[in-house]
Amino acid sequence: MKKNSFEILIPKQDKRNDTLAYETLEERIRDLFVSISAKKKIQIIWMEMYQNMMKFRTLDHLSLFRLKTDDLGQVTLISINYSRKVNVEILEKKFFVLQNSKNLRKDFRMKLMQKAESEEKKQGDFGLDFCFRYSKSRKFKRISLPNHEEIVYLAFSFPLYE
Amino acid sequence: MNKLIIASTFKTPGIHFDDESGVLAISGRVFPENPSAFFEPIIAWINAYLKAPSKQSTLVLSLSYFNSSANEYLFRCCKYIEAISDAGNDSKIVWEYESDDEDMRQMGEDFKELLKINFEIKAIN
Repeated sequence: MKKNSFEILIPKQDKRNDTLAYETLEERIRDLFVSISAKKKIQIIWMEMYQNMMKFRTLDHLSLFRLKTDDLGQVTLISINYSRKVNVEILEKKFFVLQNSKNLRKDFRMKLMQKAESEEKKQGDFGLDFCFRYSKSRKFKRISLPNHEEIVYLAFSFPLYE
Repeated sequence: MNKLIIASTFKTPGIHFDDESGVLAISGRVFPENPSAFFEPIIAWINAYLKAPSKQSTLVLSLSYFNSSANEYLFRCCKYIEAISDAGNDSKIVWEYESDDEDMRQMGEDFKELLKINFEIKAIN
C-alpha cells in the first residue's frame, strides 16, 4: 500500500551504519506516492540531515527522522535530535546565516570557490547548504534540558508540484 | 599510465578515466561514506594525468545526485581540468543531467559560473 508518511528511528551512534540507514530510507521512499524528482530531493535532504544528526547528537541515544506529505502538496522532512547545548548553538548559528541569506545560490557559489582556493583542505560544512538549496521553507527549534543538553528540531519542506 | 576504472556501487559512482582518449567520466550517485578515501585515487590519477594530458581532455559528469561532501571533491576535479585548459590544452567539461531534474541543472550552472573553461550542460533522457 502506498504511504505518504513514515518515521525512522536512528539507532545509537555505536551501531551506526550509513548504508543500512540509506537502504531503509530508500525502501520507504519507494512506497511513497510522489514523483521521481521529489523522491530524489527527499534522498538528498535526508542524507544531509542524517549526517547532521550523527554529527551533532550526543553519543548514546536514538534520533527520530520523520517524513510527511500534507493535503497542500508539501513534503516535510523532520529530524528530532538530542544534543549538547554547545553543538546546538553552532547549528543554530549556521541555520540562521542561511535563513537570512538573500541569495542562497550566490552564497553557495562563493563558499565553494573559497573552499577550493583555500590552502586548508578541511572538508565538510556544506550539509545545511544542501538542505536549504533543495527546500523552500525551513524550521529550527530548540528545547533546553538540564545538564547542558537540548532537543533540536529541524524541518525542511518543499512543494511536491512546481 | 593506466586507465582508472572503478565500478559503481549503491553509494559511489562509476569511474572510467582513459588517458589515451582523454575522456574522464564519472557517472551515477555520489555519497560515499568516506569521501576522502573514495576520491583519493581519483585525485591522484588526475594529478598524474595533468603532467602529460591527452591532446583533448573531457571530464564528463553524469550524476543523478551527490551529497555535500562529494560536491567539494567533484568541484576539485573540475578545477584540475580547468588547469589543463589554463595551460593551453584543449579541454572541456560536460555536465549531463536527467532532463526533468531542475536541481541538477542548476547545480551544473553553479559549477559553470565558477570555472573558466568550456563547460557544456546537457540534458539527457
